[in-house]
Amino acid sequence: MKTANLHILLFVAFSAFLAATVHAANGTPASLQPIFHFAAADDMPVIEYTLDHHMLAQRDPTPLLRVYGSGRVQVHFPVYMKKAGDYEMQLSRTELNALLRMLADKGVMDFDAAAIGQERKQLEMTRKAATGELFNVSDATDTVINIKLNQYQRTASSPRINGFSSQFRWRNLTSDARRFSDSTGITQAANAAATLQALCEHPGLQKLP
Amino acid sequence: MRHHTVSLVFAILCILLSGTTHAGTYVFAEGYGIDIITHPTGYSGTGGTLSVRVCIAPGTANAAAMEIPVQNNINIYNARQGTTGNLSLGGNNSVPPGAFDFESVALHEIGHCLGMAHVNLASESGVTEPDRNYTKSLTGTNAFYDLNPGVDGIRGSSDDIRIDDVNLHWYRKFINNPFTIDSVVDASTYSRDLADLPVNHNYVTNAERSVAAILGVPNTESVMQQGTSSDEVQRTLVHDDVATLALAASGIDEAAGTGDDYTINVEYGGISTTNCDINLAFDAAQTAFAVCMTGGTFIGMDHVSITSADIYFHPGFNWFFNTDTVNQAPVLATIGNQSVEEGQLLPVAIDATDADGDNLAFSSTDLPPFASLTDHGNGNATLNINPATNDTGIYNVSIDVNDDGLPILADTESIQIVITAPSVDTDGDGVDDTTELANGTDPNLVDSDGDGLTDGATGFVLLGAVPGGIDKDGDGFADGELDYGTDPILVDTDGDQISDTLEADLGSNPLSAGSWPAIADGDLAPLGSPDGNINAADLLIAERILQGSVTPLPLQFAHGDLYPPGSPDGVIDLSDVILLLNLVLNQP
Repeated sequence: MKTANLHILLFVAFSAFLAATVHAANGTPASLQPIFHFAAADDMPVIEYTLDHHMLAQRDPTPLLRVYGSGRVQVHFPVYMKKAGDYEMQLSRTELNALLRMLADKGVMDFDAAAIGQERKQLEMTRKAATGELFNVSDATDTVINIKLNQYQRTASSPRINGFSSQFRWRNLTSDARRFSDSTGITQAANAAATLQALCEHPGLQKLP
Repeated sequence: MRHHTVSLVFAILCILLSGTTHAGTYVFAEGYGIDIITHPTGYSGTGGTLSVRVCIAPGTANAAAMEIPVQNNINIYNARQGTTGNLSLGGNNSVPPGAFDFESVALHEIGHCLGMAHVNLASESGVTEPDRNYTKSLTGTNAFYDLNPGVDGIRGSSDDIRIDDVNLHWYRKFINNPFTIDSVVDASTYSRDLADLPVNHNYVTNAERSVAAILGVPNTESVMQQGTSSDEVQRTLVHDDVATLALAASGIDEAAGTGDDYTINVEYGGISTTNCDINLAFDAAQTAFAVCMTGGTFIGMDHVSITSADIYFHPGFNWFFNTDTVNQAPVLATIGNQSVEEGQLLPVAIDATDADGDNLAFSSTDLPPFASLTDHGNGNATLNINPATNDTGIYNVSIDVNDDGLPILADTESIQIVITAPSVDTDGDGVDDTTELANGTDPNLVDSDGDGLTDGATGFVLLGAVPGGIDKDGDGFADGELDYGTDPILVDTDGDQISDTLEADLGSNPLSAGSWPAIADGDLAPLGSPDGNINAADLLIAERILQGSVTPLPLQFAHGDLYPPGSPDGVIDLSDVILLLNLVLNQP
């Protein structure tokens, strides 16, 4: 797939996710919707998204994407990338809520790495038993999504979690999503990551001088 | 001993639980069995040549730019030559700052696709930098990596204290130096068992650059050491890489020299999907940087053969594509333009050399029908030019030589073959009429200037063309002006009043006015044009010279310098006048 096409698809995916999330939210009883509390400020990112490339000896530690409670979106491409530089755009409160809701709906905020890791291992063993196939991915990339909220409730009836902080980290997420399409946890997390990646490619981003 | 924090253990646990299968020194060893040796695609236990075809995916970004680097990688894997100093950083290479060398990264990923894994703990271990440089292993019974760099403080060196960590790195028995290689590489000389370490070595050494430095081979690192930086070049293998491939090539019996041994022959499949074993593509949907995805299947207890191998690169990075080939082009020795007369045969020897020792093949383009090129198959060829009547003309021809390297390289020379009509030499002086006209000599006279020398020739002249012959030494070539370098249209080229003929005959230099023959006959009069008579007029001129009223010129010296007889002294003085007087008095 050519890069330009991929960017378009990612952007479409991002837009579609937001639209679908808002639409779904409108049709979902309020009691079943997650509740987020965060300050509309620029001091601490609500969402951080980055890719940790194992092959790189000297990685740029700055996260690829940071979304602040104010709706400010910061995207940073390291100097060794074609789009090297810092970019910004602004999300509305509704869009940021939709983005958080998407992450919650896709299970990223409540991701049970141990359970889904075990599921993956089982799927791998089943596949190996059936086909005898071994599989290896060299020089992996970890997808990392950090979320920090003042308060988070999965639903109105769920307990409130003050000072909510979660880190999603998964190795070779996109290839796992293809290989283990039966794993909802993996595929949904991959979809969530794809939405954040699409935000990094959003045409509304302005490059900072 | 170094202990990990709880958070690090947790991180390791999370990664292990993610279920990813990890590479060991051989791909699949970490995930499926510590003794696994992984073989390239197509190996099933039968020895012989194992061809592995590498292709670039049609339509992928940078396909054309990938071709040279990928072919360079193939040459490197086919040569399997261990090198030192294979790391080049910053200003020491041609990679721009902020760019990754595609060829170096591809060499690493192809290594994975041939069955090799990281020699160091690498990122799959879950440990952080710089601990990833410790030698590849699994955790032991204590379930965490024991990481202590020992006295030298270098991770991955022989004094590392690793407690119960399970080594996965095959190393040279009782040597444990990855920058060396045994003449025989198999399980008799290489081991994974720590009991085969040299005395005083704690753990297996891996070919990491800091380790290389303390072992005296700076700027050297295994291609399979994970981790690359922008502006870093690493395009050749080290001994450890070669040994890893060679150990696998000793076959399932892990004994070199037996029937199941194989020799890897990596082929370039071009931009294609046909019969490809390893595929390379740029695809942002498959990787975030660079990756090799391999499938495998067991072909023996501890032996796995790769069944699929796909390499992906992310197009969003600044990639540098090397355009210099590992293969060196052949060099064609200069041929030059060729001129032949109709009816004549001209064989032209053509030679070429190749620094790689590749086989060479000659070819030509636009060769006229009367010419042929014969390839002798040893870097030599002959161009035979044999024009017939009416073939006169100028023919532009290219002579090419190709090697059989990867990529195939060539050298070419464009030459002109000039075919002329047979020359006409009307006066038979050895210079054809056309040349005579161009030189200003008379094509109808053997001696245009009448100086006694033929107009000059380098060509063959029939001796009967001139009465008396023009070939004094009988060498078959006309004796001409060209033999002396004199001007064929001047009687006295150097202007010393002595003809070129006389000077040539008597041995002085006809091109130098300061050189004259020793005629010594006393014939001085009339002054400037001696008349052949010896008389009082000559004596009178000699006396004037003696008195200083006449300044002698070369002509006067040639005739009037008589003393000492047989070897004149270069002056005309009283001794010469006395001898001249005797000559005059003794005239009949």
